Amino acid sequence: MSLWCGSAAAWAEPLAVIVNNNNPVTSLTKTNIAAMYRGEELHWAHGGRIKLVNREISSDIREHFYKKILNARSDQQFLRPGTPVAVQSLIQRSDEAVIRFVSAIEGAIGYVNLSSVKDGVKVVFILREKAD
Amino acid sequence: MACSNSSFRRRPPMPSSHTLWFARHSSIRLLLPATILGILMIPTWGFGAQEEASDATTPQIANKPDMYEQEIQTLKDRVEVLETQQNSIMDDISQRVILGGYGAVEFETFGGSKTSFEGKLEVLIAGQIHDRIRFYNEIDLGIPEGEAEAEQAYIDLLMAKWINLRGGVVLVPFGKWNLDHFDPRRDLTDRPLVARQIVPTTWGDLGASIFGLIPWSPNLISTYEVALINGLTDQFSTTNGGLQDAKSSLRRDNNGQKAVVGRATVKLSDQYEIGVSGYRGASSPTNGKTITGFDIDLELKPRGIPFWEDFEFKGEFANFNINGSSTPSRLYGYYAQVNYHFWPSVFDHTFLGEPYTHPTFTLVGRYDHARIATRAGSGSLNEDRFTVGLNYRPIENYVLKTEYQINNGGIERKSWNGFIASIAWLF
Repeated sequence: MSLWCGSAAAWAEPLAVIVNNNNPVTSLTKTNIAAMYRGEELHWAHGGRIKLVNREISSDIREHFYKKILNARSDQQFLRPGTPVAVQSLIQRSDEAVIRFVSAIEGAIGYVNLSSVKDGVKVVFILREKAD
Repeated sequence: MACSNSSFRRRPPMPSSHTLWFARHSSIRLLLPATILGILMIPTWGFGAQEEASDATTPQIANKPDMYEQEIQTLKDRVEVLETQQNSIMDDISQRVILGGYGAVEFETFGGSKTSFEGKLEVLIAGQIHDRIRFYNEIDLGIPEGEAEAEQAYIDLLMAKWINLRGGVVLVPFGKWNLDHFDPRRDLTDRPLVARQIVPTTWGDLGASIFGLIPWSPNLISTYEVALINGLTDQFSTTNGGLQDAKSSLRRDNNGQKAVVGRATVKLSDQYEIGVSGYRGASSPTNGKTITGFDIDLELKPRGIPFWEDFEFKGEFANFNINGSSTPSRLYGYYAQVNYHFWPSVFDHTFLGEPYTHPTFTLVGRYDHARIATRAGSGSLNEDRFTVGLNYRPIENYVLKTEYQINNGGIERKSWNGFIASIAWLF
C-alpha cells in the first residue's frame, strides 16, 4: 500500500557519485547532491553549469539513489519553480554509458555502482546505505 | 529457388537431432572447434621457423596481427571521439530548447445548468541561450475562449543562487496555488474558491522580479521572489469572478504606478513548506483605489515516516482589501486539503497496474470557503464547498480525476451540487 516503498529491496552494492576528472570539486555531501538533482543548485562553485546524468526510471540503481539521496520515488519529477518543466537530466542506460558521458563532459555528474568506476571520472561521494 | 530461400529466411530452421545432441553436450560443442583450430595452427607453431626462410611472403603475414591491432586501436580512438562528440551534442540539445505542453479536458454536470466539456491546451517552450541565461514561455492556446495568450514569457539572468533577475510576462509570486496551478499537477479538477475568486490564479503580468534561494542549513532553505508589475485594475466584481477580471491581461498599466508583489518560503527537507505573500498596488486610473493583499500557504509531504508518508496536507488563506471601493471592499478565502496516496496490490496484474512502474490512486478531501464583503446595501456574498475526489495516475504526468462537490452559498456554484471528471496530461 505504501506509495514510497519501492522494489529496490535487493540493492546492496555501494553507489558512487562521479564527476569529470577536470572538475575541481573533490567531495560533495548528500545535501549538495540532492540540491543539484532537485534543481536548486544550477552551477558549480567554480562557475560551470551542472549537467545531471540519470538512469532510466525502471532501474534499481535509480530507485535506490532517489530513495536514499532525494527521499523520493524514482519517477518523481523536480520542477523549475513556477513551471511544470522538469529539471533536465540526461538518461543513460548503463553504468558504462554514465561513466563515458561524465568522463567526456566537464560539469557532468552521475551515479554508478562503485565497482563499475573506471579512470576518467572522479568519485565525490559514496553511498553505503543499503536499501530497506 | 528464390521462393525457397525467402521461405527459409522467414521460418527459423528446425533443430535436427544432431543439433539437439550437440546442444545437450556442450563440452563436445566446445571441444570440436578447438580441435579443428588446433590442427590448423600446427604448421604455424611447429614448422614456422623453417617455412619463414623458404617463403618470402611470411614476414608480411607475421606482421599482420600488429597491423590489425593498430587498425583496431585507431578505430577505437575514432569511436571514442565520436562518442564524446555525440555526448556533447546530446547535452547541448537537452538544454538548448525544451518543447512541451500540458492539456486537460473536463466534463461537469451540476443541477440547474447544462452539462459541459471544457478544455485547455498550453504550449511550453523553455531553454537556455547561455549557461546563465534561460527563457520560459507558456502559451495558453485559448481553448475554449478562442484567444491565445502568453501566461508566462520571461527570461532569467542567473547571477548567483541567492539573487537572479527575471523580466517579461512573469507568473505573479502571490500564493502557492498561483505558482503551481498546472492541471496535471493538481489532484482535483476544480480550483478552490480562494484560487478563483480571491487570488486570480493563472495570474501573469508584465514586469520584472528578483528571486533566489538561501540555504540556512543542509535541510532548511528559504526562497524569495519580489516583483514590480503593472498590477490589478479596478475591474473587480462582487457578483462573479472576484478579482479574476481585475487582471491586467498584459495591457498597459492603467494608472502609471507599479504594483509590488512578493512571496517568501521556508522549506524543511523538501517536505514541509510554508509561504507568505504580499501585494500592494493602485488599481484605478485616478489612483483613488489601492489594493493590498496577503496570503499564507502551507504544504506538508511527510516522507519516510510510517503511515504518514502516504498523506499530503495543503492549505492556503488569502485576503485582499480595496481602499476606496465599497463593492467589494474586502475579499478573503481559504482551503484545506488532504490527499491519501494508495495502491491496492490486487490491481498489480491488471491493465491499471502492470504496464507502469508506480501507478497510484489518490483519495482527496477538501473544504474551501470564500467571502466577498461589500459596504453596499446588497450585503456580502459567501460560499462554502466540500469536495471528495478520487484520481488515478498510471504515471506522474497523466491523471484521470473524478470528484463530487457539495456547495452552499451565493458566489460561484451557488448551492448546486455536482460531479466533475477530467483527464490532464503533461508532455
